[in-house]
Amino acid sequence: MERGKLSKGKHFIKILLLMLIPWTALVFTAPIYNRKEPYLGGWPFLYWYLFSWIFIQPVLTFIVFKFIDRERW
Amino acid sequence: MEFSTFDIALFFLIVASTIIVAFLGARWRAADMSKISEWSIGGRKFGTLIVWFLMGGDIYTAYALISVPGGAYGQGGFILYSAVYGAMAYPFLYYVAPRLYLIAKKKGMITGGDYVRERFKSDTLSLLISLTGIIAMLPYIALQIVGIKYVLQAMNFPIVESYIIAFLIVAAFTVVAGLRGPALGAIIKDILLWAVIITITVVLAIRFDGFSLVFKSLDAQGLNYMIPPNLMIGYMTLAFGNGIAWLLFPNLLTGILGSKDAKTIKKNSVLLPVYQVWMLILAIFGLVALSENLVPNKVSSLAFPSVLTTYFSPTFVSIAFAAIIIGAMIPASLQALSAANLITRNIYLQYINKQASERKQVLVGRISVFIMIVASLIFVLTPAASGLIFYLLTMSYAWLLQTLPAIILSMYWHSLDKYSVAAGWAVGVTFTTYGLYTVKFASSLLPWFKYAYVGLVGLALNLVVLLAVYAIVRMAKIKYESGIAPEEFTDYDVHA
Repeated sequence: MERGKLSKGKHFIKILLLMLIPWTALVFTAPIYNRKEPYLGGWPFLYWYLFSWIFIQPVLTFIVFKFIDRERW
Repeated sequence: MEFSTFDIALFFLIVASTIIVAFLGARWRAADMSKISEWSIGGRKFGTLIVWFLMGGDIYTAYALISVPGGAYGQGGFILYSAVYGAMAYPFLYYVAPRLYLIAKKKGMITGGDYVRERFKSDTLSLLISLTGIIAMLPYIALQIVGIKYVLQAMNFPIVESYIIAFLIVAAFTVVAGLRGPALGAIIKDILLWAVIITITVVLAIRFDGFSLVFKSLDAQGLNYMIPPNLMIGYMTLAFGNGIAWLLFPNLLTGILGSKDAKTIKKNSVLLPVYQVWMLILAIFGLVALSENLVPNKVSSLAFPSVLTTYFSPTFVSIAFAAIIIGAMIPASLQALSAANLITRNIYLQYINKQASERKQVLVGRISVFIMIVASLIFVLTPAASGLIFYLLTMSYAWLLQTLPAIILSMYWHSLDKYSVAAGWAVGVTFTTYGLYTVKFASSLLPWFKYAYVGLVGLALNLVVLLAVYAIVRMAKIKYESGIAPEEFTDYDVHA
């Protein structure tokens, strides 16, 4: 298959991992994650949740880079 | 705070070394500076690490260092939208930017305006989009100038004279070195800022038991650090709108176009989000200032400087202040450069001298850099104009969002025509300007529309009008052209 021609299914997974999941987790669910409980290490949920997403997101992007676009680092 | 001669010397040493390095950029990977692409986008040679520094250096500026802690101090968790909108933007960068980069490389484009001109075969639309970009850069540069005010004040320097000198130096190294100047300067800037932020974080985390004491103390005093529920729509629309507007900023586009290949951009979409840590940490610094009541007269912009001067020695503070100063100079350089590229390519070359040689274009670019910096200084320094700059600032972000169909949608929607895009743009810009007028340009959230972000509401209207005109153009069978065939777009490097 020609490079970069993704099947419809793979293209959907790409968009899901790259955009739909992080956008949902970080923007659309804001009223849900805007809470103090449960605390972690004294940090309210809002803060440690956003903090962990700073690291989750690059991992998702990397998965797309490596396994869907099949790029080499 | 009293600074010793040693501290002041250290401060100047750091700032001066960065400036020298930025000037030396001209000789870095020696280039023929008579070529416009060599001067304006560094010859498309930058690899992953340089692009990381360049884009990171440009997004995370002195203004962020002052405004994020200030925002947390003044409005609590609302400012976290700035930690979230990057997360919106990076996936978008991965998906969209390589496509734009590859077509630009293929066709020798240097600005967003170049792309619009070729895609729609329209000088007028290209001019509208370019002017939007130029106008957006002006308050952005001015913002960097204002960002260092509090540092100059704290160090007892004459503020106005220092501004002028600092930013004329910015103009000088940008004129000489082009994109290589801020690219090289950004390395020092970011290494220094990372070191400063990590040090502050470690020291404060130890003092406040991993910051848990900060949240406890805020709770005890009944101070807010969550997102205020009445601003929830504002938080979400601002994060969403700014996130997708990001790629439309001419300065970021300049960084993207300077990359070596599309893979460099993708790798950076993985690596750049690490910078987002700054935003969250900076917000927490602001909360420290709030809980410990450190800020004199409750001037929120003083939140970060107050944290520094309260918990750190004068020597460390002078290093941090030097970092803030170069954190303003480097981004200002890139912003002036990207506006200059638009002026040269999409105003001068298209309207004034269509036959201009590359050498001539570089000259015009250099003059334009100087004009942009001087114009920003005038905006900041003259009281009458400084009010205007504030208006421009709220407008420019919202206006930039209205260029989304022209620059981004048009890469995927091949039958999109110039009439639909121009009509949508006009309605979007008019609405956002009116919307901002209703709140007297004091905010970009609309209280009469659930505090929604004006730019995003404008974009929604923009798209509705675009669709309507699109339908009419088709029904009336009006002719239009595109200079780029659909199959010329690709998301992958050909050689890879």
